[in-house]
Amino acid sequence: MDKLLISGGARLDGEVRASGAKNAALPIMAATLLADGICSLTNVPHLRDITTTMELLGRLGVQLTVDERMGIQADAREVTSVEAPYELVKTMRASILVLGPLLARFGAADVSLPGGCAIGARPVNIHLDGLRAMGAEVRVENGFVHARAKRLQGARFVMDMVTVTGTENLMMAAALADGETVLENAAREPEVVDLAQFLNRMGARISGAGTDSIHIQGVERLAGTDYAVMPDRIETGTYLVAAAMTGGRVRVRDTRADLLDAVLMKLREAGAQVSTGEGWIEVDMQGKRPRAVDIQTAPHPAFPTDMQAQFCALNSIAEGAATVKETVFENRFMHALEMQRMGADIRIEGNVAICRGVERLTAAPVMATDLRASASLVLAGLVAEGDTLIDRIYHIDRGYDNIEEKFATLGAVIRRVH
Amino acid sequence: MRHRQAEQAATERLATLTEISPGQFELKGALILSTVPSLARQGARLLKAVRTKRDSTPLALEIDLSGVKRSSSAGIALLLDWVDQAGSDGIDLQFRNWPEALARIASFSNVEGLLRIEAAQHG
Repeated sequence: MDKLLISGGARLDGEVRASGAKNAALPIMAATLLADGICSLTNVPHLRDITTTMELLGRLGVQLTVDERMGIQADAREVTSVEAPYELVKTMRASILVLGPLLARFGAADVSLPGGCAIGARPVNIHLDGLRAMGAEVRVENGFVHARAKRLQGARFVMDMVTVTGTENLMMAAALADGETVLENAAREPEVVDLAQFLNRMGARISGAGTDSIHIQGVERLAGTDYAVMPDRIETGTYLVAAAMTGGRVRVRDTRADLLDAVLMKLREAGAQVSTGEGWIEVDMQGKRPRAVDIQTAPHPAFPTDMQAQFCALNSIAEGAATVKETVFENRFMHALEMQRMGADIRIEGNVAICRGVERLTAAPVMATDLRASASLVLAGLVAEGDTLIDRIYHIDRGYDNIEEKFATLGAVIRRVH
Repeated sequence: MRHRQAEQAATERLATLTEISPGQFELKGALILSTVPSLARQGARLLKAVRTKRDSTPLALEIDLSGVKRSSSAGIALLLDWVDQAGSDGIDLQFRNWPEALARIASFSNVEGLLRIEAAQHG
C-alpha cells in the first residue's frame, strides 16, 4: 500500500496548476448520457473516480475515448443498458448521478445503491422523491433503485435538506422533462453551476443555478458539446494554505478566485498577502508565522467544510488560539487525533475544535482517515520537524491529482513510497 | 461503395503498420478512433502471417511506436488487443519508443503494466 514520506521544513515557493474539479467532472460525465451527440470534456482530473465513472458509462454502452490532453469524448447515442451494477456503485457513491439522466432520456434506470447506504437515509431519498414528484415510478428492491417514466413531467420540488448530488441529479432529469421544473432549497455550490452551464451548452434551459431556486424548462433533446470542467477550488485552497503554513509563496494558476472568497478572506486574516488575477491566485506569507483564525463551516458561499481540516492544520502551528466549528458533517475531526500525535494542541468539544498554535510540530507515522483529513496531514507533515510517514493515502489519491509531484514542484521534500 | 473504398484508403494513409526487418515493425501516423479499424486489419494480417511462417519468424515481435504522431485511448485499446491476440498465439509482442502522450493515456487508463511500458522505457 502506498504511503507518503515528507521531510518537513521546506518553505514552499513556486507555481502550480489547479486540476479540474472532480466534483464537477463526475456529474458532467453523467450528464453526457443526456446527449444524442458527442460531448468533448477537457480539464478532467486524473483520478480513480473518473476512471470508475468511465467504466460505468462504458458498461451502459457509452463510447468513450481519451485524447492526448486527457480530454474525454463521450458518445451516448447507442446506449445499450440502463443498469448501474453494484460492483461499480459500491466503489463510488457518486454513481447515483446516472439515475436522473438514464431515466430522463431512456425512460428507465436500474441503479444499485452503494453499500452501507440504508434506504431512508435522507440524501438518496431526496433524489427518489424528486423523481417521483416528476411522475416517475420508483421502487427500491434488492439493493437497486428501479425507476420508470414514459416522460418525466415538470414539477415544483422543495428539497427538505440541501444536497449537492440531489440537486444535480434532479436538474439533469428535469432538463429533458415535459414542462418547467422548479427546485427549491437547491444547493448553491459552484459545481452545480458548472453542471448547469454544461447542460445549457447542450441546449438545456436552466436558470437560477447558484441560487437556492433553480428553474429548468424541459426540452425535447440535448445535443453534444465541448466543455472545460471548472478548476478544483478545494485543491487550490489546499496549496494556498500550504504556502501560508510554510511561510512561503505559492501561485496557483488555471483557477478562479471567485470560487474561494471565504477561504481567501481567512487567509488574509491569518496574515497572508493574497493577490489574484485572471486565472490565478497567489499567497505570499513573506516568511511570517500565520495567525490563528476562527472558522465556521456552512454550505456555499460560506466557508467550505472541505477546507476545514486544512485550516485546523494551519491553526495548529499558528500564533494564538482559534476555534473551528463544523456545521455541515458530523465526525469530521478525525485528523485532529492524528495531528495531536504530531504535537498539535487541539481539543474537540462536540462539533468544535479548539486549536492552540504550537511553535512546531514533530514528525510521526500517521494514518489518513478520509480525503480532507489526509490533506491536512500532508500540510502538517510539510512543517513538522523530521520525516512524517502518512499511511492509507488512497484517500488522498481520490481527490488530489498528482499531489506529491505538485508539492515537489513547489520545493517540498515529499515522495511516494510503496 | 467507391466512396467507402476511397475513405478507407485515406484512413490507411493516416496510419500504417509496416515490417522493417524480421520481427521488427513500425507504427506510424495517427492512432485514433478513425484509424484504429484499418490498423486492426493490418495487425490481424501481420499476426496471421507470423503464424503461417512460424518456422522462419521469431516468436518475439517488436513494434516501434516512435512514429505515432497523434493518439487516443482507442489506440491503447488496439495495442491491448494485439497483445492479447499475440499472447493467444504464443508470440511475445513488445512495444518500444513510447511517445509521451500515448504513455500518459495508458497511465490514465491504468494499463501501463499490461503494456509493459515501464520495462520498455527502462529496458
